Amino acid sequence: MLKSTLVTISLILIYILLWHAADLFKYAPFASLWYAPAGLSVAILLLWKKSGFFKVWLCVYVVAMVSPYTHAQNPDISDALLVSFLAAFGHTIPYWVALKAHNKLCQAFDALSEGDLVGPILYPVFLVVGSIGAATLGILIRITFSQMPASVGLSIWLSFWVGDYVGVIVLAPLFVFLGVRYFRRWIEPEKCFLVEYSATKHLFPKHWLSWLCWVSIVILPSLASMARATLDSRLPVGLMFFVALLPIAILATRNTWGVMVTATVLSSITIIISSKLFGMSGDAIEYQFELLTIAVTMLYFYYFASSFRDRTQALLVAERSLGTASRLFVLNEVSANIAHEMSTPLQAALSSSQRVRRRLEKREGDWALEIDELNNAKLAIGQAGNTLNSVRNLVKKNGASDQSCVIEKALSTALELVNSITKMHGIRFTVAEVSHLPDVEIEKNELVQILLNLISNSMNSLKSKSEQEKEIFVSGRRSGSMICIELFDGGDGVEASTLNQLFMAGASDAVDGLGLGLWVSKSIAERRGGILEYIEKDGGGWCFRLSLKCTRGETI
Amino acid sequence: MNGLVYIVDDDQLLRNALKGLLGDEGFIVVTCSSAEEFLALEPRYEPCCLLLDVKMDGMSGFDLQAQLGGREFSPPIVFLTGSAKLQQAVSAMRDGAAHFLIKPVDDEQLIETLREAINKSKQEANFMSELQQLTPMEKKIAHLAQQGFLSKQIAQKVNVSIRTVEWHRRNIRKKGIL
Repeated sequence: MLKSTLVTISLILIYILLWHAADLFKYAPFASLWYAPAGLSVAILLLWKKSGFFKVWLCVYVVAMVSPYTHAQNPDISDALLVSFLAAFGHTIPYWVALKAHNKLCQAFDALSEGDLVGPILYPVFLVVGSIGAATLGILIRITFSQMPASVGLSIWLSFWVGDYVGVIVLAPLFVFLGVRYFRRWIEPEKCFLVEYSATKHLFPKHWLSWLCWVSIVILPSLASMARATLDSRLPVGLMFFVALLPIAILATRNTWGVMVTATVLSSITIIISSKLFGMSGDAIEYQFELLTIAVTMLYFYYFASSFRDRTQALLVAERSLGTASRLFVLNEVSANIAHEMSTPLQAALSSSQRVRRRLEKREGDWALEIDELNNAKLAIGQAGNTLNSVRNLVKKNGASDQSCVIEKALSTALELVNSITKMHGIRFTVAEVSHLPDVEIEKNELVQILLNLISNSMNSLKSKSEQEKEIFVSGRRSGSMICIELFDGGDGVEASTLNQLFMAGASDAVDGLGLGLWVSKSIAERRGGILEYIEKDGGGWCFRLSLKCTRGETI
Repeated sequence: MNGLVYIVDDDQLLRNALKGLLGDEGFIVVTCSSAEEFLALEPRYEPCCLLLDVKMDGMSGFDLQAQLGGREFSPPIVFLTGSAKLQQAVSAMRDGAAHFLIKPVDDEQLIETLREAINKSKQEANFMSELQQLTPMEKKIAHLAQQGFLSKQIAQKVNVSIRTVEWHRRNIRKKGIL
């Protein structure tokens, strides 16, 4: 409570300071007044999940209350109270609705691989709508309750909107970045691409060339604008450019050189165009800022497009690594199983040979040669045993293994790993509720390995099927002290002739298959006291049932 | 005679080899191809031990150990396995296994381990026969006292007062046990 109060008071103070800072220049007053406060409003809404609305409303309310005293000679208190109260809603509601709608839409698209692009593309669009709403409501409230003539309201609407939009599109990212980076303990940010971006990137580049670009992007256009501006407005023009270009520079220098150059060229062109077309008047600066926002929007898009490409490449690398890891895992299992299978006949040979040796030692006669040979056999078997131990040590895992596994987590990991492949082939998953199932006695990576093998087999059988049939079902249930996980699909299933060889090593119908997947999966399941079996379905298709023991606590 | 050894392993070749080796050394050997087959045998209250494989078709060696743990009298278990993991061995020993051997094991080591296990079984069998003179409550208290629990701890476990435990312990001592 105390923390929240302190944060709210601090935000109100910052909000008033930002508002007054713009007011000091007396430059394009309607627009410039709201550049920074509007940016802070959007940042607050993004940085506080629940109480953001209240904080923004309070900030705007206080500023709206203060404004009559700074701009009017004899303010009417009751009028100021009412107008401020309504104006705060008029400013807050449009942004709140726009950002909520944006986040909901992003969540809806989150499941798609292209979903990452939705956020940055639609973010400016939603903020355009939000800022239009805020500007319109603000003007309407003033026309209705504050005796502002409608003609005046209409004439300043554009300035209001430009002020809001430039502020939210240019400055909000900077505030979000600062909030996430330096006030993480004090905030509960909404899940949003701006927050995620701010949490993973550095504010300032470290390389000297980046610094040079950063400085040139900020300083050069500012100097150019100052040189072209009329004498009395040079300082405010320069400062406004600096403020506007700072976030562009930050965004640009943390990405690619191409973006940096593009941002520099764009900002310079906008300055030239605006100075030629509009002269360096206050209105020209407003339009110029508007053009700059287009550059920022382009930067967002560029960053996320490149980010998407990088992620896709990272995913491909991860999939390749997964394939390698899977092959190594199979090799480990094969080695461990060979070690196990070899040890039993060796033990039989050792016991038989030593039985004969012991018998000979008890008999009369010269059996020295035979006994020596049998001792040699014992040594040889011992040597073979040492080799098997080496193999066991090779495949031994380090550290204590966690034998308890949450089925839902393992299944979720397996599905994430095959996500891109299933999308590529248009295969859908239907997972029945498995969260209620108790934990099972198996390591998570082992269960993931089994599930991956089963899913992979199922996907191969579904590739040639129609879109409607490309569906894999996963369900789970408890059966006594065991948990049964079933995977089934509408594929071709297993032919009766190959059914008895299904779990045998080397048995595979696939041209590129090693025929080890099901064998290894069964081996893992059995080592953990479980069962992996194939269940024949009436309608055809695969159906594998994996039964695993509940953890001890669950069994009791 | 060295005592009775149950061999439970799904490999017939190994069962026969071990039966021959141990039979020559004076052990009475009973072989079972699975844990289920062993459980179907009539329990024999005589000094014996169980030479048990871990990985078998059907019930595993650890499953059998868990089932035998619920019995009043169970033979000491010597695990003989080809796929041992340290954690499995520690877990088996914690659950009362007498020994954990890795295949292939030396004949001398195997025979010595089985002798130790049977000696342990003899002590337990003697204790069990002595316990037959006791009432059910005295049996419980004698078991816990033999494991080293104090009267206060026993009282908590069997849910009686310390004085009652002390009284039962006096009676047990009077009968020449503990």
